[in-house]
Formats: sequence, C-alpha cells, structure tokens
Amino acid sequence: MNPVTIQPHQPGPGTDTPMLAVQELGKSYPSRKGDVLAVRSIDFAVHAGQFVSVVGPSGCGKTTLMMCIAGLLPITTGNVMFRGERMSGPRDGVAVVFQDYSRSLFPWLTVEKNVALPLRDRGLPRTEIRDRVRESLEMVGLAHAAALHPWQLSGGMQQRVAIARGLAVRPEMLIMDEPFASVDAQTRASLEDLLLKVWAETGTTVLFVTHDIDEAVYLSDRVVVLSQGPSVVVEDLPVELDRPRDQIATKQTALFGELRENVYSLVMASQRRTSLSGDPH
Amino acid sequence: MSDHGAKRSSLAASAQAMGRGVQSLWLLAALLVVWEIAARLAGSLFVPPVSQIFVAFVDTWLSGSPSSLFLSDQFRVDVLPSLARLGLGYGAAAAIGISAGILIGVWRPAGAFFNPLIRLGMSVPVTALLPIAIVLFGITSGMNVFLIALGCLWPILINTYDGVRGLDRTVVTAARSMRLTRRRYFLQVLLPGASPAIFVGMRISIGIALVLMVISELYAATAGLGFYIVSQQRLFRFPELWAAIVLLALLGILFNAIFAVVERVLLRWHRNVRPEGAEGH
Amino acid sequence: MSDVRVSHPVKADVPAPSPSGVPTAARRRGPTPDWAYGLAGIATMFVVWELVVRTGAVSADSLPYPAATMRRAGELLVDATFLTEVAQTLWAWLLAMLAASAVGIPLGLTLGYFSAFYRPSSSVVHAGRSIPSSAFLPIAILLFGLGTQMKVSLAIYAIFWPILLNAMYGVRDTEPLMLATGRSMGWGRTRLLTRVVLPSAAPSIATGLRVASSTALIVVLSAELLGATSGVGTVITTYQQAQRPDFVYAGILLVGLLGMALYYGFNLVERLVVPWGQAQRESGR
Repeated sequence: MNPVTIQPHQPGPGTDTPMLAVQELGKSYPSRKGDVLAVRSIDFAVHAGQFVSVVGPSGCGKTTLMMCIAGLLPITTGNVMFRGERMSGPRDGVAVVFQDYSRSLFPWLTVEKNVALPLRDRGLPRTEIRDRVRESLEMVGLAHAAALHPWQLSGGMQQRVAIARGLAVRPEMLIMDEPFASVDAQTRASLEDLLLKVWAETGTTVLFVTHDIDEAVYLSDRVVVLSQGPSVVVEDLPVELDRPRDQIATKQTALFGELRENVYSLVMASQRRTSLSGDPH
Repeated sequence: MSDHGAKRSSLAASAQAMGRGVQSLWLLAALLVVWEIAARLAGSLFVPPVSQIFVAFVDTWLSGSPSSLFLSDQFRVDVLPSLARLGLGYGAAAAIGISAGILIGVWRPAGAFFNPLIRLGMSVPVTALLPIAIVLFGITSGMNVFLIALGCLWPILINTYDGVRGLDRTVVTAARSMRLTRRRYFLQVLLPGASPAIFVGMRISIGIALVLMVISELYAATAGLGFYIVSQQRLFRFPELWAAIVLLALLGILFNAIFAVVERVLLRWHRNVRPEGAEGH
Repeated sequence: MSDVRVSHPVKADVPAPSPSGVPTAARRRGPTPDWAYGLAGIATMFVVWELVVRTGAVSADSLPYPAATMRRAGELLVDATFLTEVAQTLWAWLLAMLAASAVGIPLGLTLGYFSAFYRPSSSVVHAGRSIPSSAFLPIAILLFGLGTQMKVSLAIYAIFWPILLNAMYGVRDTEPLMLATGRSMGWGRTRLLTRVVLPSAAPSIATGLRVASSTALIVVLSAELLGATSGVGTVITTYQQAQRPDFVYAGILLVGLLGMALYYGFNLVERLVVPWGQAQRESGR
C-alpha cells in the first residue's frame, strides 16, 4: 500500500503507427443454432508506452476479445495490427497474464523455471536467462521465492510470479486479463501499485482488461468502455489524472470521482438494455 | 521442519510411526491368528495353517546362501523368469501405451480413427486371447509377454489419452501465448501435465500384469510362479502352493510401494495424489 | 481407482456456415466428423487383417480371413448351444457381482465411516488385493470343483476388493463442508448418512462396480479357459482343440462385444442413477 514514488510516465507522443490497432474486430462462435456473435465490432488503438484499460459489464466478451487480440483465438472479422503488421497468432513481443494464476502457472515447475520457460529455445545464453529471471523476480519482489513451487505461495504472490513471467521476455506489450480479480482487496491494491511501478520502470505498453471500474480509472491513461455482448466500443475516455498515482490521494480527487461516475453510468447504461441485473463491481 | 531439535523429533517420529504401524496392522495380524486356529480345527488339506505356510515359504524361497541374498534356487528357477516376463510385457505396454496415448490425445483425427478399435480392444477380456497367443507364439515366454503387454496396454493408453485431453485449457493457452517450441511444450507442459493420469494407468496395470502373468503361466509355461503353483497342486503340496501365493502378494505390495515412492517424488506438485500404496492411508 | 474410459472429445464440431462479414484470419474448413474417422479406422483394420492373411505374413491356420470370421460369428449368434454357454458365463458373472456387492458395499461403508476401523482394515485390503486372483485357481478347483461355484468364488475374490475399497474411499472423501452444512441443519447421524454420506459416496461406489464388472468377466472367462466345464470360454477352448481358428476368433470377437455391452450398459446405468458423479469426478481432477 506504499504510495509509488517514481517519475511520471510519458506516454509516447503520437507516433504514426500505433503499437496495437484493433480494427473492426468481430468474433462469433459456431453453435448448434448457427453462429453466436460474441464481439460485434471493436475499434481502438494503443500507442507505445500507454496504459489502456478495457472495461465492460460481465459477459460482454472481454476475455474473448483479449484472447483474439493476443492471437490465441482466431478472429472472425476485422484485423489486429501490431506495429502495423497483421497478427495471425501469438507473437514475440506480446506477453499475456491470465486471470487464473493458479492454472496458468505450471504447478510442476518451480517459480524460477516458470519464469524462465518463455525464454527457453530462443537462443539466449544460460547466464542471460538466469539474469533475466532474477531481474523480473526482483521487480515483483519475489527473488527469495525462486526455488519454491507456485502452490506454496499465496494467491497474490502467484499472480506476481505470473507478471514476472510476462516481464521476463521484455515484452513491448503486456496483455492482462482481469489479473487481480481473484485476490483480496488489499493484495489487489498493492498489486496495482506494483504494476504501475513496473510499467513506469520498463516502459512496456499495457492493455489491461478488467471489470473493476475503480481499477481501470486508477491505473490507466485511457479507458475503453465496451457494451454488453455482442460488444462494441461505447466510449474511449482519456484519463488525465496526475502520475504518480496514489491509492488514497488520487482516488480522493474530484477528477477521479467524475471519471469513475462517468464510466460507471456508461457501463450501467449498456447493461440496462439487457435484462441482466446486478452490480457491475 | 526446523533443524534444531531434529534428533528429538526424529525419535518421536519413529515412535509415532511404530504406533501407527500397530494401529494399522493389528487387524491383519488378528485375521491371520483366526486363520491359524480355524485351519488347525478344520484340518483341511487344502488350506493349511499360517504357521505351516510360513515354514514352507522360508524353505522354498529363502533357504539360499547369504551370498545370494538368501534367495533359494527355487526362487531363481521360477520367480526370476516370471519377473522377466512381467518386466518385458509391462515395459512394452508402457512404451506403446504412453506414446500412442499421447498421439491420439494430441491429434484429434488419430483419436477418432482409433477410437472404435480401442473400445473393442479394451472390451475383449484379455484372457480370451490365450488360445490365439498360444497359436501365434507356442508355449514360449513370448506368449506370456504378449499377453501381459496386451492386458496392460489399455489402461495405460486410455489414461494417457485422458490425461492429455484433460490438460487444463488455461495451461495450454498460457503455453501457447509463450510460443514454446514443440519439444519444450512436450517435455515441460504436456508430459508433466498428463503424468498424474499416466501414473494412474500404470498403477492399475501393474495389478493386471500380475494376474496375467499367473494365468498365462498356469495355462502354458515350463517355469515360473504360475507353473510352480500348478505343479505343487498336482503334488498336493499345499503349504508350498500357499507359499507361492504369499510371495505373489508380497510382490504386489512391493510394486505398489515402489509406485507410491516414485509418485511422491515425481508428482510432488500434484496435490491431489491420493496415497493408496502399501502403507495404507 | 480411476475410472478407465475413453472420453469423447466434447468439442462442438458442427460445421459452421460462413459468418457474415469478411472472413479473415479464421481459415475454416468443415471438420471431418469423428464417426467418419472411426469408420475409416474399422475399415482399415479389416483391410490390414485381410492383407496380413492373404500375403501369408500370418498363416491362415492361425489367423482366419476376416470374412470367414464374420460368417462364423453370425453362425454362433444363432447357435442355441453357444447362447446357452454365454448365458452360463453371464450367470456366473451376475452371481459374483451380487454376492460381492452385497457384502462389499455395506462393509466398505461401515469401515469408511468409523475412522477407528479405517487404517487397520485398509492394510488388510491392500494385502488381500495384492494377491492376483488367478493364483487361487488351482486351490479353487480343488475346493469347489469345476462348476459354476468355482468360477463365482474366484470372481468374488477378484472383485470384492475394488468394490470394498471404493465404498471406503467414497465415504472417506465426503466433503467435510457438506457434513457441516448437514449438521448446521440439525441432522442426526442417520440423516447425515442417508442425505450426505451415501449420495456423495455413490459415484465412487459406482466406479468400483464398473471396474468390478469387467474384472469379473475376465476372471470367469479365465476359469472357463483353464478348466471349468461350462461357459463361453469352454466353447472357445473346444474349437481351439478342434483346430478351428475361424470359430475361435469369432467367439473372441463376440466375447469382446459382450464385454463392450456390459461396459456401456454400466456407464448408462451409472449416468442415470448417479448423474452427479460426472461433475464430482471432473472437479476432482
């Protein structure tokens, strides 16, 4: 819960080609009664160094969208461009952190080996791999846990291992799918600050998918709001809160409250159209 | 777990282990006593008292010189050939079953192609193939090995297949996002992930292997434990016959214990392993 | 005590009509349905079988032509003597199943429920099930003769352990939280037993019975091949001695189909009687 004291991050000033461009992305699943449309048409772009969140009501196809962007699911229509190139599958330079850390970490490997895994067979010298693993584990404050197995760690620690694994490849872009959804509130706050610190240190672009509005506003440079599925982009809001951000001070500012309310009403409005009830947070 | 006081705790632990031993073995001992008394009272020729079986056991199997670990010539003549057949048949079944199971698990067309054949194959009670095996191999060790291998093949094959198909999808997706090489994926994701199921199959098979070893040797063999049992029956030497049965039981318990140890070491990460080895849990 | 089964891939393999819009990255071709591959597999087996015999790789004396085998299988299926022997085998199987469950299930439930019995009895069980049932065949023949009694008693010995053990494990593995829930509703021992313990042990018991079902068939057949005077196994031995491999193979094929029928019959009954077993098994992984 320490306030993060680091230099504010400068989002890359309008480079010509964005790091990531999602163009009219649509996704449907075949089913017995014909195709089911999960994502109708999504457009947005992320520039190098930006921290962009995607929020939407539950069931709006956020995870599907994330998987499509990461190249883990084939898209039905549209394009995903990474640095101006069409993405047709998982690629180097993009790392993914999944929501379900307990299942995305390999329980049969130690923490160290989990983090090292994506670095193998890349022609990196052994020492380089070791240094990078060490470095990423230090970044998330888990250097001491290298020899343990994931299941010997708490949920928050496991998710930090997953983040370290993403960072180890020094990705240009980190895609995170509700990474903090399964940890308790305090752990979540400290993980958020940890992420901001790592983001500022590494300059990695982050695409952060979440259903938590506070989290999205607190972390991001921009918040992309999706509608209820089959989803479209409802709004693309810039978040001009000062950095570094602070769990208490930032959240007390009038601007934060305003943005929060704004996003909340957008999400609620898109949700009200369907009969789904319940608190989006 | 701490180093200091390790000595005291190891003493306490061995006392505790002894207590546990008594706790878990008293019923077995009591049943053996009941057997002894009942057999003496009934005076049955076919079911001799435990004490006689014990004497016969020592005479038959453990009367050798210390240089041969006290194992008798009889042990060399009848047990070693049986164990060799068991080892060969089981080894072949494991090699074929695991590789074929992985193949059909990974490659869906292969799975669909072999599915009906496997279902039929596993449904044929393997002993029904005894007549065929004799025609194909004659009364040779090859016949016994063939039968053992065929009987053990199905559980290993099917459990391997289940293990591969049952791999957690998050695990597979995470591995995909890291773009591992095929070899790396196979060695560090697929194989370890499927190994608990593979072990289940191998454990089931070891029992089947023992049954088939005995049956095939009862049916046709010129040496081996099964052969020994039939010959003792013809000679009406029942304590010796029972001594052979006891030896089989001990072999079964030994194999289970070996499995329990190997599993504990190799599958330490797999928290759901249910110990069901000889130690009884 | 895992359950040995071929689980069907559960993907929806319905060929999808081309979606509206511009198809891009998704290169979709209509996937060949599983049954087509399966048919191809069966066809290939017959072709290979035929070729192996025709080329003389295996002599026709030890491996008959597939067509001849099929014809013989058809003849056996309408042969009253053969069917009587099948009935004999099934009768022994049924008796063994009934007797072993009648003793094994209640005993297993009791031993699993009272923790004082659990440890000592499990070491007895492990010792007992370590003896391959086939080793008792010579003794059983002397004790019980060559009739149904011998087959049944051997089969009972073989399947008693898995039935007992699965009942014990089933009770043992009752979710403590479910028991606590029951207790919080003020249920006494009897109600906990009938409403929580039994239902949650049922899938495990069913697994034990399914394993036992195929084991019992194997043991009964073995006894028939090795000396018993009735049953389908004796028919196969007779044909073997008469040097009629076509009938031997036909008999084995039919026995295989019988085993399959028992297996799937069990699966079906299991799914109807303990439909919650599937979910439990899946989450247990």
